[in-house]
Amino acid sequence: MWLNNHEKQALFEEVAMAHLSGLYYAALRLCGNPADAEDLVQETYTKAYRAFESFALGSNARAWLYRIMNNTFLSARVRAESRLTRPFSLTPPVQLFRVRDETSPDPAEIVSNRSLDSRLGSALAMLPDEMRTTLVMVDVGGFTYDEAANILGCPVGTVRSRLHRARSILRVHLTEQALPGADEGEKAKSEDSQDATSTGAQGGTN
Amino acid sequence: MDNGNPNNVNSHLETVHDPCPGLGEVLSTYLDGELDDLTAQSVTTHLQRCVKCNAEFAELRQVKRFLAPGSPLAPALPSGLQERVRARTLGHRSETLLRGKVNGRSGPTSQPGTLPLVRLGRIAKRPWLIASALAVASMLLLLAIGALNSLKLNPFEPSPVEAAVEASVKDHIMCERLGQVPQSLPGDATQVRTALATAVGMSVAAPADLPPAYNFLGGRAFRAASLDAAHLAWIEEAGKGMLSFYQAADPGGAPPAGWRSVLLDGRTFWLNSTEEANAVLWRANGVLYLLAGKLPEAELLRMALSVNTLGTHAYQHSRIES
Repeated sequence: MWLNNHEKQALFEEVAMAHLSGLYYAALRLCGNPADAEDLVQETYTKAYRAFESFALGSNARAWLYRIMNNTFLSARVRAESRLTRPFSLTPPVQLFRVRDETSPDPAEIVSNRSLDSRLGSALAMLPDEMRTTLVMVDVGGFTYDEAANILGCPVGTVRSRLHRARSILRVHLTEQALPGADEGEKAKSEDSQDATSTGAQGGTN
Repeated sequence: MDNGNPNNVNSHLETVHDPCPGLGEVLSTYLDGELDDLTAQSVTTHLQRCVKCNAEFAELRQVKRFLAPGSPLAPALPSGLQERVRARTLGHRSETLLRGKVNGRSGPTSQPGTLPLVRLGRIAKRPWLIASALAVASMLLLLAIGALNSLKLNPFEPSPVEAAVEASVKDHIMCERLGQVPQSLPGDATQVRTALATAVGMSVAAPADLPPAYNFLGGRAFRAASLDAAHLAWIEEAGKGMLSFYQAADPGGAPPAGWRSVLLDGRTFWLNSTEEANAVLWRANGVLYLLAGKLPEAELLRMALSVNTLGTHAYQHSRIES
């Protein structure tokens, strides 16, 4: 398939550019900071554009892009480890995310959300790369286990076990260990602020 | 309990009065909606009765929501991100279309929305002429450069072996032009091979029989498409070229299309020659090996035969399965 340049650009725009914001959020969770996330997304799109002739139109463009991003991210990490530096630094800033204060007028809740975010963000950054990429594919990318397995190039069982282990690790950081008595209050507050998108039972908590 | 077997889950759930050992992986799978309906229903019922599992489920759900793009904790897109990415991506057009140094021009300036074609002057006003002229130029270029650098004209993805081999040969050519191995690990061949063994999860082999006047240059872990490879390189004293050796766990599958096969000593080797490099590919004990360089094919084959592959079994469970 040989496209003239106008066609290639228009087609790429239609097929690929629409997924930019999703890819950016995924990159943000992979890299831990906005600057590196943007670099990763940019490199992903550049590679995707170069490889566009080999993309089968009509097939899953989103999965294709996430696969490129995953490979780009892991290559950079391997290169970084071999020279003991990190091109995508995984040290999240103290407050990575802006909390939408209009939905959380309670100052205690804002503080608890920010500190929760910072703890989970740090914990995420410390996960082994393959655990983090798997978590990002499923929870940020929204892919099914089969799709994620395809993107990551591993069996579905591996996806399942990595998710379980990653979440077990992150769970530990949900509560502020240093503050005694803060556990119950913080947990209850955090749950109240969640939207209802669970797949299962609505039950009581502790 | 955490092997996802529905029978185990169901029989466990029936004995909910005993202290619950937890659902393990099943709960995480349930959270993602990836359980079959029957097992999922059992878990739903269990969660209504088991305080401990319900608390764990709430925590898992919280972790999952933290990551979700729509979460209140997620930031807005940086302003102008879309425009920047679009400009920088589509501005690389001349590089992708012409595939290499046609006339020595480097990349275009990044002016959003403008095509680099305007630099050709008056011709820019006739897009059809440009398109066909570039198509012809590109085809000639493809013939000149050869199969290894060509863009994929077919819509099918290359096999993992093919993609890794292509990436490795390109990498070798780049290193040879640079005259060095980028981010090379420190030390002599033995030290580098030892360091690399950790990176690729198996001991790293090397040709025992090197041609005269070739000295060890360096090595590093190299990501060859989807494979983690060890790369070792030697350089000829008088600057006549570089020899590269790549080793990775064999993903299985066909060798690159168009490579010739040779049977030597009961083993199969695949060969390819281009202007830039000759290459020999072979596999043994679950490991893939590649030698590339300007040396004659016979010389490369001799070196390939001298590589001791007996000590480099790929581990069944690679270190990546963390």
